[in-house]
Amino acid sequence: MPREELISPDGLRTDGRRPLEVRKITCRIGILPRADGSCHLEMGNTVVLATVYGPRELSSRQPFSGIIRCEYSMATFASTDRRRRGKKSDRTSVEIASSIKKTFESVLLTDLFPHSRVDVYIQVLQADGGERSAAINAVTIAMVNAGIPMKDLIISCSSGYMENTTVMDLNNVETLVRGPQLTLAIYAHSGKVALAHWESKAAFEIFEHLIAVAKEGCLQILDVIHSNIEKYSLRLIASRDSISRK
Amino acid sequence: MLFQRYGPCLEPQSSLEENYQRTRPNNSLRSLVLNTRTIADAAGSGYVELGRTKVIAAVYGPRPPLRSSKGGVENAMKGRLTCEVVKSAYCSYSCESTRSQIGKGFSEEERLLSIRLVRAFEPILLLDKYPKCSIDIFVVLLEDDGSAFTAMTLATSLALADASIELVSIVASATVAISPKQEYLVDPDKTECEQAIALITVSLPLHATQLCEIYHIGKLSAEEWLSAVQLAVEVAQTVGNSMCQFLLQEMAKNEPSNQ
Amino acid sequence: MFAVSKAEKSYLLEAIALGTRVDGRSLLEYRPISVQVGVLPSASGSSRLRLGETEVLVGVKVEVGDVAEASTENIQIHFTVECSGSANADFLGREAENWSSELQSALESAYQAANVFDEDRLKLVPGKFCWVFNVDILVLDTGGNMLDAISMATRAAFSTTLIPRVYIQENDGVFELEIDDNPNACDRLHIHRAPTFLTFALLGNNFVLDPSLQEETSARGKFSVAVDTNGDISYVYSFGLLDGVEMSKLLTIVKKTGKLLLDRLDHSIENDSSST
Repeated sequence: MPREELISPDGLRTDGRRPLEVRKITCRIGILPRADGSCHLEMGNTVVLATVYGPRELSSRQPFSGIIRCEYSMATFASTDRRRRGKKSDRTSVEIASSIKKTFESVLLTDLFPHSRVDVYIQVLQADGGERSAAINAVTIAMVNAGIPMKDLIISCSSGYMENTTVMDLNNVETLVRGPQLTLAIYAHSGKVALAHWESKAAFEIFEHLIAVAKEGCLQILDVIHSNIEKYSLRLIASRDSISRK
Repeated sequence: MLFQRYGPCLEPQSSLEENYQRTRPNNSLRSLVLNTRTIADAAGSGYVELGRTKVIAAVYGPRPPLRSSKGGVENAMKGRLTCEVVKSAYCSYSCESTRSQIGKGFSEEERLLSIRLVRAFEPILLLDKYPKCSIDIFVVLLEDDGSAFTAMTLATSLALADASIELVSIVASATVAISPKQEYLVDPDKTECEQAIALITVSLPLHATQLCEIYHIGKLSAEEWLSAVQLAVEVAQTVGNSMCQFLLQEMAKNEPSNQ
Repeated sequence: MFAVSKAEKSYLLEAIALGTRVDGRSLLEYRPISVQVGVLPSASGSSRLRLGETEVLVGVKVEVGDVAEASTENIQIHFTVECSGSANADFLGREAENWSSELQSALESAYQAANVFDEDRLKLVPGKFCWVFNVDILVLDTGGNMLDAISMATRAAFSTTLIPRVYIQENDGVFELEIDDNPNACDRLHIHRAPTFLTFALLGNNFVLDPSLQEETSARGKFSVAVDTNGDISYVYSFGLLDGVEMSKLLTIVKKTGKLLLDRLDHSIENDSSST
């Protein structure tokens, strides 16, 4: 089978995007009424549901600062071939969960809720590349929804290098090529790097370039997410006003 | 109907599935063997044979719970009923399915049977009388030749009575299969269960007009279903009566030795 | 684990004795149901259903599987029920496994007994190949009465499932299957016989249809029936002390409500699938 062309002569990618364009992002905030915070985030065809419970009581005594627990799981029907059941804690999921946990530990003000814990559950409903980024973004929004004090928002985006082009926010086809790929998460305001996931070999120049591209992607995503959060909050304020006026 | 003996252990499967013929009337049970005090260490135990289906049940307790329950205050006011069902590796003629399970903990089927037993007996036991206690039931299915849940219920019932645990009533049970010819077969064996278009198991406290468990699989109209339940209830009552008779006999036998 | 305090429970029971429920429903009323079909592009059929606070996502994947030489089955259905962590953090804890295998076995038995599929239309090569339906159920939120929600969602997912056309070629007893690549060359499944579950909780001396999580926790028994549009029953599970006299009454309700429910469900599936 001839290798598929990832970037057309016109400079367009398989899904019709330009190299430096993120996928369409839609998010619905607070969709699970019984959770403290929840977010249903779609990045193109990747769909992630993040839920946050807490802060709540920790059964074992933990000194002072609160702790975060994180669980990441992929639905059986998430990808095109059906994943067998009973692999809820496969290695990739555990790795992603722990990296997300560590990332958010750095930004949550855990000192403010001593002896308590925050539970984060991430469910991937559809996997079309960039699940790690989508999960981080969804958790950020769910944390905001739950009203858990954070120093900053964490935004994540992936980038990759293929056919002499750097592209941002990879989809599944582009991920499968196994070229140099980077998942980056940054603090929204300071712009510092919160997490970088890199499993390939490439020249240092390319790596630097990928970081710049991913960062640019993060900022694009931040715009969308920020406006979504703002809209949601304004709606909340409006609904509170209408109640208090009565 | 009652035999005070252990049945023959393994008989070769006499009939091929294709030309299977029921050898007894549709509305009669297979030979029923009841026994208690099979396991000396347990607070109470019961043994039931329904034809070739053989079940041992043992009851331990009331005793302090082995694993701490997280139930909180309200649950501590009531006793806790737990149940573990184990199918022996040789319980059916095709051992393959069970053999692969060895060393893997409980199979799904065993866990579901355990849940069903707990749920059937929970309303029957006077758990309010055993605060902070646990009553543990262990059931071993030695051989499965159809109507296994019925045999388990009967054995558990005997064991609980043997352990002198306070019950609302003895629990009786019966299984009815509806054959492809629309016959109602009481106490079906394995072949009949496999061929049946519908299978219904009913458990009931003998001295009340209520039912404590119904489990039905198979397509039936509502009317047919109700008549099948009716039949199962009648059979269960007969079985329950002979169980009572047996327990009374046992009591009479044991009483002089206690004095 | 979800718990109900004594005061809450007695309030709930008193209300039910008076013929009303804490959420304002009457005793035999379902919570609002909303259903969406075709939500998962990677599955052959899918649905998302919300029943009050309960939310489930069902994906059906169709594939061709091998069968043993002697077997006559044309169809295999496998159900898996998974509870997403998002549903409720401490949901059931260790019991989660029992909980999901119970739901699985109930669905499997009901579907098998109801003989849902048109076997003749779905015949491939008997004793060689059969259709395998993998039904993956993901519970997103648990708000009680999971069985009913799951069975309705499964029916919805099946009714939009597309089966690819398959051409069978025989060369000297060796069968070759060719699956049509054209995504439009698909047939819809006919699942008119697929049952739905109706669950009653036994609270005090009353039966309450479609129990919420709170009602489920305080119930002393449960009565679940799988019923199809003809009013035929394919699965019953009941526990907790129940009067034999009540049963015929319950079954009349089941027949009537089941038909109504299935008709409404089909109607809203039709609406939803035509709108997308």
